[in-house]
This record gives sequence, C-alpha cells and structure tokens, in this order.
Amino acid sequence: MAAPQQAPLPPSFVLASGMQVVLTAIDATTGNLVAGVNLSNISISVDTSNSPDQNTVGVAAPILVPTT
Amino acid sequence: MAVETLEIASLPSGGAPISYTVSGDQVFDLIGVRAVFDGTGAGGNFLPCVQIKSAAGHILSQSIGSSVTAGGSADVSFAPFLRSTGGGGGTGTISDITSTDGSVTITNPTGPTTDLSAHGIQFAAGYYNSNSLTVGSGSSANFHINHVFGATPLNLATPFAPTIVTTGVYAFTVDIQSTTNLAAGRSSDAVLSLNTPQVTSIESYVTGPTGGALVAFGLAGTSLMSAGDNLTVSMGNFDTVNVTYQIIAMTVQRLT
Repeated sequence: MAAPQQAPLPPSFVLASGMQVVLTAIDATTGNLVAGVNLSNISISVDTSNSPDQNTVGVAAPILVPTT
Repeated sequence: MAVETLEIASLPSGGAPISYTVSGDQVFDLIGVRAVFDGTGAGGNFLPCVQIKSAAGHILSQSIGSSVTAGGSADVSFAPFLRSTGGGGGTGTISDITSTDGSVTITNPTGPTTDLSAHGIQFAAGYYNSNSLTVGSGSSANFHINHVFGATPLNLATPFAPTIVTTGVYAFTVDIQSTTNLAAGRSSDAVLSLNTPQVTSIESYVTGPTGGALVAFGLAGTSLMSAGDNLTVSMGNFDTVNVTYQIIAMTVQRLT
C-alpha cells in the first residue's frame, strides 16, 4: 500500500516545446538517482489555455483526457 | 480565455526516471503531477521528485516529497501551494509547561529569546512540613523543614533556615500544632521570619485554655524575597515545662 504524500510545485510554470517533466527518485544526501524505484499511475495535468492547439498535447503518445 | 485543465494520459509505467517532453508548438502551464513511487526494489531510501528541465536539459525546478524508506511506497501528488506532508517544522499544541524553579526560557536559535518569567504566569506551590520540635521552658528553637511534594522554591541545604532559590514575591502559609498540652494561662509564640534585608516577622501568640490543651498556630503572609534570602519558622515556649510542636502543613508559592 502506497502511503499518500503531497508536495509543492512551483506555481504557474509555463512549459514550452522541448521542455521536460521528469519524475524520478533521488538520494536525500547526494541528489543522485536511486535505482530500483518503479513508477506507475502517472498523470500530468496541464492548462492549455495558452497553447496554439488545445486539442493535442504532445506528439508521440499523449491522449487528451479532460478531467474537468 | 477559459482555463482548460487536461490530463496527459497514457504515460508508461516503469523504472525511474520517466519523463514527458513537450513537443510541437505546445505551450501550457503545469498544474499537477501525480504518481505512485514503488520502492519495493529500491537500492536505498529515496525522495520522490519532479524535475522540470529546459530544452537544453538543464534542471529549472526540482520539487521533492518526503523521504520514503527502501522497500516502501508512496502515492505522491505534486501541485502548487501544497504543503509538504513530511519533514520541516513540527506541528501540534503545547498544552502545558512545568518549571520547578519558577521560570521558563524558550530559545529559538534563529529567532528571539523569550523569557516567560513575567506577571500572569502561575507558579506551582511547594508543600512542606517539619520534624517534631521540643522546646524547653522559656526557650525558643527553629523547625527542621522538610519538602513533601510540589515545586521546590526553597533550598533545604540548611533545613533550619532554608533559602529562596529564585527572586520573586512569595506567599507563605504555615499551620503549626502542639503535640503536647499547653498549660492553662501559659503561652507559646510561633514566628515566621522572612530574613530579607528588611526582616519581616509574622507571629501567632496562643495561650493555653483552662485545663490545658493542644493548640494550633496559623501564619500567613507575602513578601518580596531575593535569591539566597532565608526564612525560619520558630517556636517560643513560655510554659513552665517542655512543649512539643510540629509544622503540619506549610506552603510556599511564588506569585511573580
């Protein structure tokens, strides 16, 4: 059972082409990647108000699923 | 323009790190990130982390959650204005602070020092009694004072003349009883002497009733006392025979 947690993100961070959102697991002392951590149930929520094309996000895989 | 909150779905599961790259002409605001971090096979304790990288691969922002022990898992939501659920300062309520010497000092290494030894603070009382004291005819003697329970405002290194530990205004009550009869018409004098620079004596003078009887003496008073000032409780016996007395209850309470 995964314990629930919450953490702050910087507010109003605008992502432009080529920028990445990276989910990772790091060591508290070194900041290095900790191997062996598996990620699942990943979701990234975005505001597309300023996007030239609000019907697509990403190219390769993303599928838009409105949540509101 | 209306806000369009959308979810980027179908991101694959797998070993960290996993990244999503903004492609094409997309420009949007990041609202939230959520994932389950399964550390069953982790090589050590870890911090769940979301990094935002520039197109050049530089880390622009790094948001971290609370430490997860190797073998543990966490379902982490990252969003603006959330407060971390772990680490940082403690929370809770201080319900009671007890001090035995009548003052409390709270020090924040990065902030001001607050001395709470001020008016409005209620100090606990110290409760005392004495050994039995037999006083010869025409003589006087001091009680040997013992601490029973409660605060310890008195230093009993010299139990016949204990000293005040901390400067302040103190209230005193002393209940003394004779344990042998006081003869009719014969008197005893109980005295509480507060040996500050201005000596204060509080007395209770009792004369034996017809037929003689056990008698009681009550003393009460307040005085400013400085640390090191001593006090004594004594009995003067004006009977023709020895009389024995004892402090049944004595309280010493700092008021300010």
